[in-house]
Amino acid sequence: MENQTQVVIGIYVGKSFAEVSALNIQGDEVAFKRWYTPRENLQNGLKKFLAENESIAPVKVIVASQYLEKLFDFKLGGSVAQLVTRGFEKWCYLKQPTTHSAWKSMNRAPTLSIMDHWIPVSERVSTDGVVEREFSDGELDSTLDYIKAHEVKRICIHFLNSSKNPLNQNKAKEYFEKHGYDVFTPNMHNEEDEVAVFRENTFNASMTGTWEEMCQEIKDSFKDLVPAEQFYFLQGQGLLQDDKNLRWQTLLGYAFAQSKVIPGLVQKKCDVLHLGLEKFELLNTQSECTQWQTPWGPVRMKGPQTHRLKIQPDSLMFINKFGEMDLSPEAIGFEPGPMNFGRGLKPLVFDLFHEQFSNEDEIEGITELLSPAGRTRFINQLTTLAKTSRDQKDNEVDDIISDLKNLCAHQIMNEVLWKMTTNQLVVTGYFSELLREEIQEVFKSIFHIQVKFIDQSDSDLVARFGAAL
Amino acid sequence: MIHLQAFNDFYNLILEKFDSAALSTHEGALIHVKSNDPADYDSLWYAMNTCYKYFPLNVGDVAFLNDPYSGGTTLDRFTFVTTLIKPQGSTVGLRLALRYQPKYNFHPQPHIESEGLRIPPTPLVTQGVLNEALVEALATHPLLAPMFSSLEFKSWLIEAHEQISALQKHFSQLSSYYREYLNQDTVQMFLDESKKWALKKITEHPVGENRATLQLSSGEILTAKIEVSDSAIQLDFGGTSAGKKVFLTDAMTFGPCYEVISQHYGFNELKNSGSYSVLKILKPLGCFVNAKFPSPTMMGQSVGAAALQSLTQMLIMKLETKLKRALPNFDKLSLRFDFADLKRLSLSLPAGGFATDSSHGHDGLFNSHLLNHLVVQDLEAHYPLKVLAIQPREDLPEAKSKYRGGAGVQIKLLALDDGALEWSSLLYETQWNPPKQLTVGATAQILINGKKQSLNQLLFKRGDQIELMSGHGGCWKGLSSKA
Repeated sequence: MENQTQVVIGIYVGKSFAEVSALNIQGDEVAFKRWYTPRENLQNGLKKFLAENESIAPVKVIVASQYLEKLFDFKLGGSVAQLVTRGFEKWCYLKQPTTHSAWKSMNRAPTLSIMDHWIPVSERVSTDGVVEREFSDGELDSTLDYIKAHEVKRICIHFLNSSKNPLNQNKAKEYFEKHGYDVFTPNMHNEEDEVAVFRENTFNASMTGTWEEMCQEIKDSFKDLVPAEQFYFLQGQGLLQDDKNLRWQTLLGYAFAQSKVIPGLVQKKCDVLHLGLEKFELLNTQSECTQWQTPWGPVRMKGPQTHRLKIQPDSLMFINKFGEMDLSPEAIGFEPGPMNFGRGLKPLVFDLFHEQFSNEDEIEGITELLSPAGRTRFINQLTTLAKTSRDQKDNEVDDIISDLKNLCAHQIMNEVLWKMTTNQLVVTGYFSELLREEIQEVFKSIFHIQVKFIDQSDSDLVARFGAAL
Repeated sequence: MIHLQAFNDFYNLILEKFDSAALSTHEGALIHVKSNDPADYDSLWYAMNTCYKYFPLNVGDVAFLNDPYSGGTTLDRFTFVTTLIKPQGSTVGLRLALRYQPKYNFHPQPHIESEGLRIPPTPLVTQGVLNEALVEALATHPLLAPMFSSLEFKSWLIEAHEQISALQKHFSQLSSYYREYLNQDTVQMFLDESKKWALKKITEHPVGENRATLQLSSGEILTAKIEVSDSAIQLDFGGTSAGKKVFLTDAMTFGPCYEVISQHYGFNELKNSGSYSVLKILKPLGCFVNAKFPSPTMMGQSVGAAALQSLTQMLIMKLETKLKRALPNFDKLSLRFDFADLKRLSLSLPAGGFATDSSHGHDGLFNSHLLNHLVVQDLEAHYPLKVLAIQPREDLPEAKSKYRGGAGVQIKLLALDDGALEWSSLLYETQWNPPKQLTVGATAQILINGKKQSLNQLLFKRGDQIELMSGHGGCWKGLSSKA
């Protein structure tokens, strides 16, 4: 239509919230929507956004997602089988880290995928690339029978030294592809930590289904509006269109956009403190990581160096060993939700910063979720907790909240100051305004670091990255 | 009033990126220690105190050492000591010790001077300037050659120096912001509260006393009496024999005992002079857990520390008979390959985790961080070995147990060249009969071509198959708590 404004769409899909922004050709945000995905799914939210903004004409869609991280809460790979060089079928398991530093209660993280689906194959390639042992077709036939019986849908091939000679790997891949399976092979370089690379491949295979569903939902929402070749998905090293072996890398997609766009906005080398609605993290835009720590151990992943902070918006409040009210490193997610939503049962950092808001305040996608009954329950629980503490038992509720907000800011800033690599800090994300006063207070006694607040939504930043292409 | 947990978190954060480090005040009070190796808990503190006894280290100065009798542990581990902040008014000064192990070198010898180059406390950096003549002299020393090339050692030392300089700069820039964490009264309050917390945890358990003994395969007798009261825990090692092959310095002994005690009573998060003060250890001079120069420490670090942990755990189990878990296997299999082409490879393998009255132990869990740097493709590319398998041990711990201990780790190797293999493991004979509901995990083993080997140095030939097996975790034979 003639009166429509051409826009670049930026979509950010978090674990429980989604955001979409539209940027016009001048780089101004002309439309924005945020919604809580447990109440309204991704596709419906996007359709509503388009219906509410009929005057925009999307020409390009850029997507960044941390939604896949949600899968960390579950055991992965139920439908994935892993073919491994015989003798090494439990090697990844043995290298999985422990979940507790105290050996008295030490445990190992649940296995990345079902152990019964790690299938040994009698093959071997030497370190100088000589194929010392080839598997027989009969061995693959019996493996095929097993995976059929166990309703396996995807197969990872993890053969040692396959980077030196991929003959066995390719032969197995060809065999299973011929039988209609989706086969994932690692792109390994010589002498890399094989377990980190195998984990990367397993993640790709495990996340493929969810990833493809999400991509399809987004594409369907913009059907007949944006051609297929104008959809871009951000991953750790840049843009992704349709390379399935890089899906795991999409977890760093948003960080990638931040590392490229934000230094340009402040025209300096900087560190980015992203105080997002669902996640607090520090991003060193000047350095790159090659591995990412997961509950299952390090996984190969290239992207900007990111540090997940100990305090998170969904961190719990509790009484610590010194009898003080404290913020726990344990983060419980947004489902069923914070107490202020009227759904959650435990007080979170999120509640601390939203107890003063009412339904009359306008925070896109949040205001309508706040419940007066939930607020009352939160205040009651907070005061009950305070009475059992030694440091807050005599304080009024406003003082308790103020002290805990300060504690939150100090804990965040201590970690940030220790992990920054430049003298310029950019604070961004949903909580940046909510914590602004406390952060500025901290910087009253720090003179060598410049702080800048950039009030832009996550989806705006993603759109901005796409618009610059 | 400062938030004490935030105070503790702050000091945790400072040490977070280091494998082994400690912070103390200028007056010598220990604020925090971080290490995977319990022998460091006290020795890092001792190293700091020794360095300051000889050198008045200012900000910009660094001393270093590896001498076990000055606060080091083994000669392949180097400790750097420096001042982060000088004291000023009510602000305490802050001292730092960092310990690095650039290369693991399991090399037990009958004499400390043969285990490597022993460096007593030595000034390395003065007013920010690295003593290059000293670095050059050390880097070309023949006793370092089996571990490093001269270039490797120099570049590693320079890198460590840069890391320390960056820390010092960070503190000087943020000193006014960090002031509240450096307040003298706050530090004292934190130490007092740490002690109170540790005592509170101890009082939640039974008091009493008991005695236990074990004999190491190398002949040493380790014996101790534990006394638990509401005000302290005392371990008296009176009656422990002198060393034959296994020796620990005074400073290396405290940590392994503290590790077991603090984990059992639940104050292991705290490692400072306040929490340390609840544990008193008596060691007769000359016994193998209080060895004197020139005794070697390599076997003490591996086998001796495991013996101390095992004995302390046995003592606790004798006091608290209602514990619902088997005995942990503190032993790690330490070994070194020397190949005909002069290449040397040192490895340590973790033992299996212990069973409880409701679950099996996890395979290869105890000290599982030891596997972090083991990369099969890298090992095959750089050493004349082919890895045939890495898996939990095939000979599983007692199958008849209700819950079995975690299996040790088994690595099957094919030798592609001739060589020698040296190994150590805590193959002790215990004079303690564990309660009938639990067992002690089986010890480590090495097989060559299927034959079980003794602890002596082993020779192997090209084509030999070598199997390395670390110990199992203890099993649970009693009633199950599962419905």
